[in-house]
Amino acid sequence: MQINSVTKKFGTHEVLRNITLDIPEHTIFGFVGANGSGKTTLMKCMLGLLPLTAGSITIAGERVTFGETRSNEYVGYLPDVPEFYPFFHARQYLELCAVITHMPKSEQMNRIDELLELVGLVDNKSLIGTFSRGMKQRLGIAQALLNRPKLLICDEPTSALDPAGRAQILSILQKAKTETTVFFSTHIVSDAEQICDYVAMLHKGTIIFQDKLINLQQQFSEQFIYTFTIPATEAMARLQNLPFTMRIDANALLVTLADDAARLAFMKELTRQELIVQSIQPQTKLLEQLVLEVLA
Amino acid sequence: MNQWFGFFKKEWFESIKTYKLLLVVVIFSILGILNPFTAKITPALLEQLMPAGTILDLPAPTALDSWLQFYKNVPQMGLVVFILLFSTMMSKELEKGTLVILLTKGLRRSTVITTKYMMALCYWTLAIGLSFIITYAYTAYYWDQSELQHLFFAASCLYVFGLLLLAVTLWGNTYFATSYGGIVVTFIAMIGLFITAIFPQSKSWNPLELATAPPQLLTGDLLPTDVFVSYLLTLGLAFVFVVLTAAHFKRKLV
Repeated sequence: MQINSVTKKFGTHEVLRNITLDIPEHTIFGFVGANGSGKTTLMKCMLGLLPLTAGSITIAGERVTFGETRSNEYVGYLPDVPEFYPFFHARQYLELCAVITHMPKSEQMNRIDELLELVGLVDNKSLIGTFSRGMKQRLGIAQALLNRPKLLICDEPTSALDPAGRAQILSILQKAKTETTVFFSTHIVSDAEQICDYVAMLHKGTIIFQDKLINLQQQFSEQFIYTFTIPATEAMARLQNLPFTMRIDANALLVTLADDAARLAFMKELTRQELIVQSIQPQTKLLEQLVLEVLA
Repeated sequence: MNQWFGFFKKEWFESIKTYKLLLVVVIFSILGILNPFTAKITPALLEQLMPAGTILDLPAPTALDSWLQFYKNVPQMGLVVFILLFSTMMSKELEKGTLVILLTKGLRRSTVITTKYMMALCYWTLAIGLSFIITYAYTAYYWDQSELQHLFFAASCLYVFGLLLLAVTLWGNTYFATSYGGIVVTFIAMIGLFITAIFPQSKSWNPLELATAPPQLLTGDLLPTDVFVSYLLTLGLAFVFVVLTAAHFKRKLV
C-alpha cells in the first residue's frame, strides 16, 4: 500500500498537500489528526470515492481510480458512521455483502459465523435498526473483514464509543492484524498508542511525522521531567552550560538523558549547583504530548 | 449476475418491509374495482340526486364507460401515487449513505441503477396488471366487451408511458440526490409534454399521446399505427434516461 505525493483540493481549498505514506503489511498503522485535518478525505481517496487532484495511490499493486476501482477487492472499509439497512438482521446484511464480493456459497456460512463470533454478534437476533452505536461499529468491522481484505481501512472506529466499546473495538483490530493490514484514523491518541505499530500524524493537510511507535517511544523514554524547589526557568539558567537538551514545560524542566552516564552526570551537576529536586518522572505522555505541541 | 440478483433481492425485501407491496396491491385493486363500479352507479346516483319528477334520459352505461374510468383513474390517481412511492429510491440511499459500504465492496454502480429501475418496473407491471385484470373481469361480469378495440394494446400504451415517467423520476432523484428531486423533474417533464401537446403537429410523436389516446383506441377512432412513433419514442427515451442515470451515478460522489 503506497500513497505517493497525493494532493486533494476542494475548489481552491487544499485539504491534502503532497501526502506520501508507505504502509507495511501486517501492521497496525495509526493515523492521528485533529478533526478536519483531512483524515477522512485521504481515506475516501484511497477507496476511489473521491478523485485525486494530483499524485497516486496503489493498493496491492492496483492503482486506485475514481469511481469503480479494482483495488477495492483488496480493501475492507469501515466508515466513521457506518450506515446499514435497518430492516436486515446482522447475518442477512453480511450475506448481502458476501454476494456482492462474489464469495462462493460454500464459504459464506462459515465466514459469516466466524466474523459474528469475532465481533460478538453471533447470538443477536434483532434488526439492525435497533442496534446501538457500538454494535453498528462492530458489525461494520465484520463486514469490512468479510472478504479477507489485504488492507482494512477504519475511519475513527472508536471515536463515538464509551470506554468499554472502545476496548472491544481495539481488541478486534488487534486480532485482525494476523489476517490483514490495519489502517485506522483516530483523534484519540491513547487508542493509537495502545495497538499501533506505526503512527503517522496529519496536520492541516500534511504529514508532520511518521515512524514506528517504538522509535517514538524511544525518543521519549530518554526524557525526564524535573521539578525543583525553585522555578524551572531559574534552574535552567543555572544549568545551561550542560551538554544536554533541555526545555521548559509548565514549570518543569524536560531533559533528554540518553544513557546512565548522562543521568549520573546530570545528577552530579544538580548536587554541585545545590538545586533541590522536588520530583523526577520519566516522560510518558508520548503522542499526546506531540499532538498538543503541534496543535499549540 | 449473482451480484445483480443479490442486490435485487435486497430491493425486493426492502420494498416489502417499507409496505410498498401492500400499498401497491391495495391501491391498484381498489382502482380496478372502482372503474366498473363508478360506471355502473353513476346513472343511478344521478337519478337519486335529481329532484323528483325530473326525467333524465341517460344512456345505459356500457363497457366503454368502465374503461373510460380506467383511463381516467389509473393515470391521474394511480400513476401519481406510484411515482410518489418510488420517487426516493436513490436519494434515500444517498442521503443516508447506505451505499458507501456496498460500493467499496465492489458493487457495480450500474447494478444499483438497473436493479432499482427493474424493481420499479416489476411493481408497475404488477400495478397495471392487477388494475387491468380486475377491471376486465368486473366489466365482463356486467357488460359485453366484444366491441371494444385494441383492449390490451391500449393498456400497454399507459404502461409504457409509466415506464418513461419512472425513468425520468429515477434520473432526477439520482441527479439531485434529494427526495424532491425526482418528483420536481418529473413534474417539469409533464408540463413540458403538455406544452408540446398544444401544437397539433406533435400529436404524431408526443409521448403524452400514450396517456391520452387509449379511449380513442378502444372506440377505434385511432389505430395502433397512429401512436406507433410515440410508443417507440417513449420506450427509447425511457432507455436513454436509465442509461443517463447510470452514467451520471458512475462519477457521482457518494
